Amino acid sequence: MRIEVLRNKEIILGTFLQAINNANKWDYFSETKSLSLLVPFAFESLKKALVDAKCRGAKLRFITEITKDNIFYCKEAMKIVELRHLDGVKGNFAVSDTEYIATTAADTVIGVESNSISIPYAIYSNINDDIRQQNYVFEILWNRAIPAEIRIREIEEGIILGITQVIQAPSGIQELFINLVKSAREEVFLVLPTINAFYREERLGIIGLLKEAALDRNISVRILTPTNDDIEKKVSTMVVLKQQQKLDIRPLETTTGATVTTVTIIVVDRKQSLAIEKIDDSKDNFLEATGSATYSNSQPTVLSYLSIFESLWRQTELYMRVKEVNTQLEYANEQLIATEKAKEEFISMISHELKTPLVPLKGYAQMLLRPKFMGGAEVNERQRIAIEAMSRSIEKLQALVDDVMDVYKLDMGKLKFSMTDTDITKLVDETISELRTFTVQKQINLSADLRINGTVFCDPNRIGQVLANLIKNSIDFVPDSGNGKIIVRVQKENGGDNDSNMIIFTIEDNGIGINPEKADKLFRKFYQIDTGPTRKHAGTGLGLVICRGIINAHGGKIWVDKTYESGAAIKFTLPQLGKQVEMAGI
Amino acid sequence: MRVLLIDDNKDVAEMVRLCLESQENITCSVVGDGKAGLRTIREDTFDVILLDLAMPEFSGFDIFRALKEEGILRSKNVLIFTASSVTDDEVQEMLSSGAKGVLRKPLSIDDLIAAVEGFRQNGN
Repeated sequence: MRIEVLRNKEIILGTFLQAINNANKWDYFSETKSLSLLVPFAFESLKKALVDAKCRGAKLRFITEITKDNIFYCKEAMKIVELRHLDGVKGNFAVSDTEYIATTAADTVIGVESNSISIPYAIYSNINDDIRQQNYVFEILWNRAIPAEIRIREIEEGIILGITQVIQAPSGIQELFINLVKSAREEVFLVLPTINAFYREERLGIIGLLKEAALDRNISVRILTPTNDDIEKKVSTMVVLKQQQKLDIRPLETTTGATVTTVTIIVVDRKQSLAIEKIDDSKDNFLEATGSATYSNSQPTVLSYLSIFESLWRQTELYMRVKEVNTQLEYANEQLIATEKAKEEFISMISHELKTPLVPLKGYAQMLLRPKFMGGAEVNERQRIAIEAMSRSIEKLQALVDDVMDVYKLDMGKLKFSMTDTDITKLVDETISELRTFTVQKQINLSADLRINGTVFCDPNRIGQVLANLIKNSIDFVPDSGNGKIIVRVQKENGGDNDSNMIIFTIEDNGIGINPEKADKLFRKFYQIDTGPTRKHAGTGLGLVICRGIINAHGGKIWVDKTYESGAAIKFTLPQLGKQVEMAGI
Repeated sequence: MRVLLIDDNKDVAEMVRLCLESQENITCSVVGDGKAGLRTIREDTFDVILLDLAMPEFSGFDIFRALKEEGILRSKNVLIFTASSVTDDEVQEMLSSGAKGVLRKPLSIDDLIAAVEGFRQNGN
C-alpha cells in the first residue's frame, strides 16, 4: 500500500500503462488539455493498452469536455471507450478497481522551475479508502455527464440541446427564480398551484417584478393562479395592464382535475423553464416551503411545459365562458319562470273575473221567468222572448269562458286529468242519456253500438266531454222530424285483433256530411262550418280543438272518416291500457 | 232554515238571497267581509253556510283554514261557493277536510236550491 508523488513524465506514463493493464475497470476524468498532451506523446501505447484491457473484458469510461478542437480524438476514443461530456471539466484523475492516479494541468507546476516545457506531476495511491472515495466521485461525475454522441451532434449540427438540471438548495432556487424573471425579454408564463403559493411568491417580490416587467419592459406576462376574494381584488387593480394585453391573470380551477397541484412552473421567453416543488404549502416563507426544482433550457422540455401551460390557459378561458353563459342562462330561466307564473296568475284571475258577473246574470234570467221568485208577477210574451234570448247568450258566454280556459290549459300543457279504469258501456250510456232531451225534441234516433266490453284507462269526465261534443255536433246536422240517426260505435282497432291496444270510437250520423276539403281544418281554433240552420246550442268554435287536445293527451288520435258517404263520421282512438298523462298539449 | 252567505260581491249576494228567500221558510243572512264572516260563524248557528273563496284581505280559504284549526269545520255545513277553477283533487281535499260540498259559479238556481235544501231538517 503506497501513496507517492511522481514527477517524471516517463514514470507517470509507465504507471498509467501498468495500471491499465492491471485494471478490470478503468474510469478516466480528464481535461481537454491533458488529453491533447497525451495524444501526440503517447497515444499509440495508451491506445494499445486500452484495447487490450477492453479485450480482456474491462469496463472503460472516459469523461472530458468535448469541443470542436478535440472532436477527432474523441471520436477515435469512442471506438474503444464509453465517452461522456461534461461542461468545464477541470483537472485529471484516473481510478481503476485498485489504483488511483491524479495529474495536474500541464501548465501548472508547483515547486519546479520551468522555461518552456512544463513538467506535470502525478499523485499515485493504491490505498483502499482512497480508491473507494475516488470511485464515488467519478460516479457522481459520470451521472451528470452527457453521452458523447449527443454532444458531438450538437457541435456538428449546431443544435443546442440544452440541459435539464435538478436544483436542491432552496436558496439557489430562489435566486434562480428571481433572476429568470429579471432576465425575461419577451414572455413570462407562470402557474401557481395554491393560494399560499400566490402569497409566498408575492412576498418574494415575484408578482411585483412581473408587473414591472409588463409595464416597463413591455413583456407579455400570463399568470394562472387559484383565487380568492382578496386575490381577485388585487387582480382587478391590474386591469389597466390587462386591457393593454400585457399582463393577464386567470383563475386556476383546482377542481377541474388539473395535474399541476404542487408545482410552481415558470417559462421564460419559451427558452427556459423552472418547475419548483412545494414540500410544505402551509409555510409563509418561500425557502421553507420549497423542495427541489428542475431547471431546463432544453427545447423539448421547455416546450412541453409550455404546452401544459397553454392548455391550462385555454381551459380556463373556456371555463370562464361557460360560467358566464351559465349565469346568463340562470337569469333567463328565472325570468321565464317568473313570466310563466305571472301569466298563470293573470289567466286565473281573468277566468274568475269573467265567471263572477255571470252568476247574477244567470240567476236573475232564470228567476225572471218564474213568478215564484218575482213576487208572483208573470212576464208577458215579449218579455219572455227577450229573457229567453238573454238566457241563451248567458249560456253561450259561460260555455265560451269554460272553453277558452280549456284551450289555454291545453296550450300551456297545464290541463290535468284524473285517470281511472272507466267502464266503456257505462260511459257511453251515461253520455247518451244526458243528451236524450235534445234528441227527443228533434226526434233523432241516438243509439249505441258497443262491440267491446270492459274498461278503458282514461279521464271519464273529459272523454265524456269529447263524446258529448261530437254527438251534439251531429245533432245539429241531422235531418229533423224523425229521420235523423246517430250511432256511437265502440270496437277494438283492426276489428278484433287481440294484440292491438287501441279502441276506436265512431260517432256516425246521416246528416249533411262534412266536405272533405274542410275536414282537415275542422280541428282548428274558431273554425266553424258555416252552413247550417239555426242551432239550438251554438258552438263556440273551440269544441273540436279541445276534443283533439284531450284525445292526443290520452295517446289517441281523432279524425274525420272521409270514406263515409252516408253522412258524417268522426272517429277517435284511445289506448285501452292508457298512457301516463298528467299534462296535455295541442 | 237559516242560511249564511259569505261573499263580497253585492250583486251575487242579492241574487242568492232573493232566490233562497223565495223558498219556503228560509232566511238568508249575508256578510260581505271575511273576518266578520268568521266571527258570525263562531257566534251564531246556521243550517248551511255558503262560503265564497276569493275575498280581499281575509279570504274564504282563510276562513276554511281557521275553522279547520279550531276543529269546528265538520260540525258546520259549509258549502264552498266559488268562481275559481278548482281541480278535482282540490275538491277532494276540501271535502275530506270537512266541507260538505263544492258549488261552482255560475250555477243554475235549481242546483243552488237543491244543494241548500239538502240540509233542511224536519220542516225547518
